[in-house]
Amino acid sequence: MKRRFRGRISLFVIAFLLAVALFADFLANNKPIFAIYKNETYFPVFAGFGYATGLVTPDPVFIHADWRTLEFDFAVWPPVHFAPGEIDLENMKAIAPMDFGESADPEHHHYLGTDDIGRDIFSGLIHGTRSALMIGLVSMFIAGMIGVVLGGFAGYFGDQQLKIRRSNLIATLLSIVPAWFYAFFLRSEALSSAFASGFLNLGMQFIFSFLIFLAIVILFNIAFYPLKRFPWLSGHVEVWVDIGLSRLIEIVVCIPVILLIITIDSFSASDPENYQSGSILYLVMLVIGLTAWTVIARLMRGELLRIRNSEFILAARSLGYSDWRILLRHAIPNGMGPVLVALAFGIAGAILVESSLSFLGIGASPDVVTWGSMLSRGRRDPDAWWITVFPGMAIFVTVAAFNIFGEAIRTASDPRSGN
Amino acid sequence: MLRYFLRRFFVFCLTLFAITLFAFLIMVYTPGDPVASMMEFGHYGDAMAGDRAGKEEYQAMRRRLGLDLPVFYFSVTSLAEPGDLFQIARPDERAVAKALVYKTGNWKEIRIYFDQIRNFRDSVFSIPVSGEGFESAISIKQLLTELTTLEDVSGTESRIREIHKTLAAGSADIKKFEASFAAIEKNYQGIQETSTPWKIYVPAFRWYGFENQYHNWIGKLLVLDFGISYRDQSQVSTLLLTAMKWTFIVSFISIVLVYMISIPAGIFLAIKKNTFAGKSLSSVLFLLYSLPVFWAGSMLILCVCNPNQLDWFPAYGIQSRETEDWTSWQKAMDLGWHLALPVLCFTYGSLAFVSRQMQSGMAEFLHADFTRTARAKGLTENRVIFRHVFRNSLIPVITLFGGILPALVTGSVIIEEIFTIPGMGFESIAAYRTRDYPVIIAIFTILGILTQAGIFLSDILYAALDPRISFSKRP
Repeated sequence: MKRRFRGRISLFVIAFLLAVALFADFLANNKPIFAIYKNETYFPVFAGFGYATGLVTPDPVFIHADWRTLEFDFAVWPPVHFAPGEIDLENMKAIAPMDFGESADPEHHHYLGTDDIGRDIFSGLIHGTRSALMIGLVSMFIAGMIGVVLGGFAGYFGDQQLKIRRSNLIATLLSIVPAWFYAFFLRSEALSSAFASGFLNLGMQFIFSFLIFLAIVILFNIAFYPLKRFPWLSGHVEVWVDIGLSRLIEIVVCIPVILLIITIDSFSASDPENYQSGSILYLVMLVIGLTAWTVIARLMRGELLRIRNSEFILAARSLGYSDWRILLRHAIPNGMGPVLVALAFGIAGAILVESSLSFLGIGASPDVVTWGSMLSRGRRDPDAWWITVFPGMAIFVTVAAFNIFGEAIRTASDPRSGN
Repeated sequence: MLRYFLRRFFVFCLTLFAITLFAFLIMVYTPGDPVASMMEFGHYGDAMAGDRAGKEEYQAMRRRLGLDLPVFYFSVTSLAEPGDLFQIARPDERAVAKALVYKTGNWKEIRIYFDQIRNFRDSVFSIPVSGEGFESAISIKQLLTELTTLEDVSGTESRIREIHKTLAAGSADIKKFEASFAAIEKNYQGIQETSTPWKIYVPAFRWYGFENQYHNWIGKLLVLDFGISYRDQSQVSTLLLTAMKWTFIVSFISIVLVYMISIPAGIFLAIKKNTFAGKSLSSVLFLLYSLPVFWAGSMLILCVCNPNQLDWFPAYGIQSRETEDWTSWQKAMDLGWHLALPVLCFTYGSLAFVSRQMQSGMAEFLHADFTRTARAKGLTENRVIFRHVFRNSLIPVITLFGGILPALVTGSVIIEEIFTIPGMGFESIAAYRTRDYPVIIAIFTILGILTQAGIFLSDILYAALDPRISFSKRP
């Protein structure tokens, strides 16, 4: 009962954090949500999204306006009147929480104080939720995809189950170098320029390269198809999926994640383009995603080793379903339990890694506010305790919520826990 | 057992190879010029300005760093890309040559043109400029620099035309270059006429043999030679050896503490699982596990190292200043005083993890058949737990040692930075800030190897301690 209660609380906390991340612009911003100015109606926060996409051109009145000084007929403001990273020009020093000074109107209130150069802590906390959750969710999505697929293959097929015709094996092996050449070597220019221009673009270019790779491998296989007539070449060989995956995991596990990010970032930092779009966040997501999958792959493999000999898989086989269908429709969905637990813990871990890095000031990008970078400013003034306490609290609560959530799934799905 | 060990060792070597390869790849793709970082600033400028002595020094430094060799044993590139591209010394010039090759695909003609234009640039740079030709000479030098070092080669044609025009309009001491530049222009036209763009789309395999950068690098790695630091030209290995000492002192104390606390805690948790004390201990451990180490460290400094509040511990460093006439006991106490907070931060995170492992190990054997037999035999509960359950559940916890070793070293980056302990983590951040690539790569490689060694050790320990592990065949 107690456990279930904990799990529910953690779920509420996670839902709350997601809501804060989604509506951050409406909770803390330096412009009103809705305003009537000189008998015209404006929706400045929504318009802000429009400018970002380039669909809406800003009204010339507002381009350089400080919204707080405009005389509105009517305005609905967000609860916190400061944008993250915006310096309060009237108070360019650390202000204690709830210390409102003489001013009575909430426009100048810093509910949780400011950091040493006058940036609102509360606003930073609200907007920092966004990058923290994004790092956690995106990196674990990447890790989950890789881990489930590789672990599923290795667990289901083992070292003996997956057989391939010898001619196809030769064709595939021969095709790897040319496929890499056309898909990645000749496109290296496009790929590296996509890295600087954002995550979505990089993903698209990468998928395009991958498709070329696949197409060339398939072409080679088609070209080698006639060789099937020779008896030796048409024989089948086993593919050692399991051993291959184990070796790969052993290598990937050895990569120290924080140091890898430090290393890559120190090498790419000489390129100023990388800092425009905060692409260090993408780098962190990518590196965590590409290294954290080993845990998930191991769990998935273990689950499928158990599942592949169970009755329902046998039943599916006897119905004549193909291996792919059994793997994707029956085996993998039934082995997802432990993976979900690992994903929850992984999100917590990814958030910790990201906040540690921004605490250390690695890849510090000035226009993205993160909890870690806020926390790091606390060391400059030993008396301004609020700069250290509040962001740290936010990280702690978020990480603990995901950890407790993972623990709750584990107890709920473990038959031995005996509730 | 020996067979298992040998096979495991073979895999260990393979993964080591993969990790060094990975580190080397990152190193090779470094932007910037390592030779320039090693040369004195003025000398580098001389070399760039076409000064013969400076150029020779540049070549000598390049040879000393081993950068005049091919990168790897073999390469797979386009047929158009020549195998001897690495012989062009400067990285920016190499990039231009490569860009030109990937436009027209005829290296032979491009090479003639590129050598000529570089020589031309050097001869133009060597003439002193004075008087009326000043402005046009400057603009020609600018254009020539762009032609030979700007990776974007789309403007080559217009730049050549521009130089042609400026030369024609220039004064007498510039005009004398007109004839030699006309030859270059003709060669550039020749490149366009003889272009073979199909070569770009044909893959080519080249074998370079053992005289290559990776081979030399890995050979030096085996004798712990990590090259020279950019910061002060000292050996990276001596720098890291002193740093490693501090990291290992802190890690060692922490590991001992973790085991001393978490083994009893794990036993307690397993036996008193459903009591109030057991539940609260497990909750506290779980929350400690979620506590970010940099927050805990910052809070500790804020609370107990704060000159305005409680000033109990030093906020940074490993030694007080006036230690010369202290006894060794006093020195040890001073060191302990400085290391107390870092060790605390190091310890608490692994505490929850190890005691959880101990607890689940105990729980597994508490209801095992042999435990029931021991109880049935009439042994006291204490004897059952310590003689039968405890000894069996210790095996996975001992082997965890290999797993926490890398975690402690990585965690050290943050703790050493917060408490200013001059260890590996601190050095890596310092190297990051000063772009000291040899140090960063060395730390990355060492940590990768250490992690691999930790896993290797724990696998071997597991196989040696647990008789149920079969040595011959994989499960």
